[in-house]
Amino acid sequence: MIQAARESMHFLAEESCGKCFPCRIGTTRMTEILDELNSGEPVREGLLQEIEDLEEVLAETSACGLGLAAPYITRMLKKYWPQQIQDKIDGSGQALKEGSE
Amino acid sequence: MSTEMKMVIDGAEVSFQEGETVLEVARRQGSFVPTLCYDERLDPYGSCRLCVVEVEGRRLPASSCTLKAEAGMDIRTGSDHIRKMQSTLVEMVLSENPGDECPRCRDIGTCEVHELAEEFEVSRDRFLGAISNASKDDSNPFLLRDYDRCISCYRCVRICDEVEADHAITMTGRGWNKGIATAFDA
Repeated sequence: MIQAARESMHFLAEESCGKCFPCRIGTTRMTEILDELNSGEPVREGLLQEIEDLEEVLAETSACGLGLAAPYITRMLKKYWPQQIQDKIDGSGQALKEGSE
Repeated sequence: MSTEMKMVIDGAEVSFQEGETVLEVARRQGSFVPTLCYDERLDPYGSCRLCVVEVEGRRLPASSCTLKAEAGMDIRTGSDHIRKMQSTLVEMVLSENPGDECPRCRDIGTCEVHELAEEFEVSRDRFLGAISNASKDDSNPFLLRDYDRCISCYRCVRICDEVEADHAITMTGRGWNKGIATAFDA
């Protein structure tokens, strides 16, 4: 599911017009973060907090529906498949530092 | 003469003229509303989203530079929630460009991004990833177009259009691959 989320986010990043900052930067960074989770390499500390902060900014400050829709991808991933994220983080040898609320 | 209209900004009742934006009224009233794409000479653009404010009765924050003031509006500019999102946005902007530019830039003059980074006490250490538009156009022996410091506020394009009326610079690309180019070079 993380790969599916990554593809959806990548789609939005590709389609983002690039005018408004939260969407242009947010969808790209989210794609990179999902790539990082998928890579099998140790993920950097604070990754989950970065996801949460990006979600907040995308959901509330984006200029149009494309940016507003982007955080649904990671929020649904965390809501319905939290174990998959946990496994990726555990598997990379990095202890889960902060919980997603 | 039109009748005086009033709205509330951060709990204080303020008067405004028809046609003013919420950003203009809020700044006149003394509220701190950060911006990066705003320029008083230009039409509102609403791309940096830093000027978001909370509007009573609206579910989502609105960018105050593109929001026309209306009688009876109740605006909050500086809640913890708004400040946190603004802080995140500044961090995101810092992440777009290479990190070694800041010391060089500071010698040239004041930098609005730098000022906001200090205001929000953030630096370039989160959301790091690909650098946007890092390639330098160095084909001309006399001119260097250095996009490493470009935050894509498009003020150069808009000044050239709206103030100079030259329309010589244009936007190019899309999303992460956005850029600034000379006219017809898109």
